[in-house]
Amino acid sequence: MDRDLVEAAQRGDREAFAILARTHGDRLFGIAKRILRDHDRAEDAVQQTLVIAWRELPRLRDPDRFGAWLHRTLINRCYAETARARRLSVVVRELSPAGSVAPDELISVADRDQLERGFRRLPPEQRAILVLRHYLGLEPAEIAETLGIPDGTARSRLHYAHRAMRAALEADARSSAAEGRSA
Amino acid sequence: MTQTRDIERLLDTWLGDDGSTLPDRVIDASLAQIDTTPQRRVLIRVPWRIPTFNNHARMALTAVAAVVVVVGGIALLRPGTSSGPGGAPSSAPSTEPSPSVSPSPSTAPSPAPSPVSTSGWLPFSSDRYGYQIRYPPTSTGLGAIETAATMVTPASRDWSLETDKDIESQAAFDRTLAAVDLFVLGPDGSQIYVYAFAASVPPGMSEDEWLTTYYEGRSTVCSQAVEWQPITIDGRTGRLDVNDRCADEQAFVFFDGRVYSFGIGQPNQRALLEAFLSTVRFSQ
Repeated sequence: MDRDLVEAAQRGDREAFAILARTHGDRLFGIAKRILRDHDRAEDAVQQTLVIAWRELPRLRDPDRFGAWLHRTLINRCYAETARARRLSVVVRELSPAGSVAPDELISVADRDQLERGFRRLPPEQRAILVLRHYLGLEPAEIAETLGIPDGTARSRLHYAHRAMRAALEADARSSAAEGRSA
Repeated sequence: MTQTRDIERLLDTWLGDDGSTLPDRVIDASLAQIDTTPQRRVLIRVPWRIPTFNNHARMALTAVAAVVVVVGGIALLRPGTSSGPGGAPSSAPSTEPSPSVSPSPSTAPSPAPSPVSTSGWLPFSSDRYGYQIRYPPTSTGLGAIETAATMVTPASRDWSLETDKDIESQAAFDRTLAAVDLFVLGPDGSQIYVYAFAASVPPGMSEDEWLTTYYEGRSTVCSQAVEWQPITIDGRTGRLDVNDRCADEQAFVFFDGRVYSFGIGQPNQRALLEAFLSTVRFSQ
């Protein structure tokens, strides 16, 4: 179904593109929100992505790759959003950990806070690959296709992202322990 | 939370689906914006059609291996598209009206002012096609939505009419890409493609005839009459297509039995193309 809609949208059919936008919108928002950790900026990124997608759609050679192409465009927007936020020294409105993730008995509130802090320490490229893996559930080969990188590179990046996340959590734990001792 | 925990399982749970719902207003705002956003429609225009005006020219054009240097906008063409400007050429005779090519510009050529500074641009020399040009090292300030290092891909083989006129299939299009010098400004989703081509002009064929042939086969969307504005490239008189509906701008200059063409693959980027053109130096 997507293929027909994509081909129609490539020919300038706005109605077809509207269906695609509504079909993929929630997933795009989920990705952007997790990478950017900010609702408003995630909405901005999705809106910009949809406009770019419309403009660039005639250049998509394989309509069957629309989903991966769209995700890649969004992730590039998220990188740009992150860079812009840094340049402007924006005080990022934090995504409420409690509001962003459904309550889960497997992870305590304290753990979620720690995950949130650790995740924020990661560069956007590592956040993105973790979101693709753990939110979308993509395999390394699919991550490679989405990001337009070799399979081996995707596996390597995923490995380092996990390692960085673990290091960030350990650093956070050490920091918390030190604060506890000094209190 | 310690390192003994399974970080992957934690991330699976923490980043797992929480039913994110994009507010309708974001979709609505996006759709409102695309109402005023033209789609990028770019085309490597190759003279894929055999000339219809002159059997002698047809034979000559077929026989002469074209040498093409392309600097301009290149779109990712989709096979089987008939309505888009990137529509692939059909192997069947077309019933669409052919675009017309207006007579050569009558006014004296004059280089258009280039508001885009070329300071700091890097040199590129095309030994294959015999020209030098400069390009911006990044897309900063040049119209790309995002900035990235410019990607330069020299042609890996000579362009030829015989092997490159068919770009209907993905494989054929990729082959054609290998025959052009390509400058890609900006990252995915925000690229500006700069390309060029030059071809040997068959003996006896005029510039207008060559251009008529070159523009044949364009889709209906692109089929309006071409209008030209004089332009100077490295001191040589050329012409610039100023009303291309296919979202790119393209310049041509003919000399010594060859035609060189330089273009750009994004609407409203004429100033950037002219900045590129101002740096061109022909080797001969």
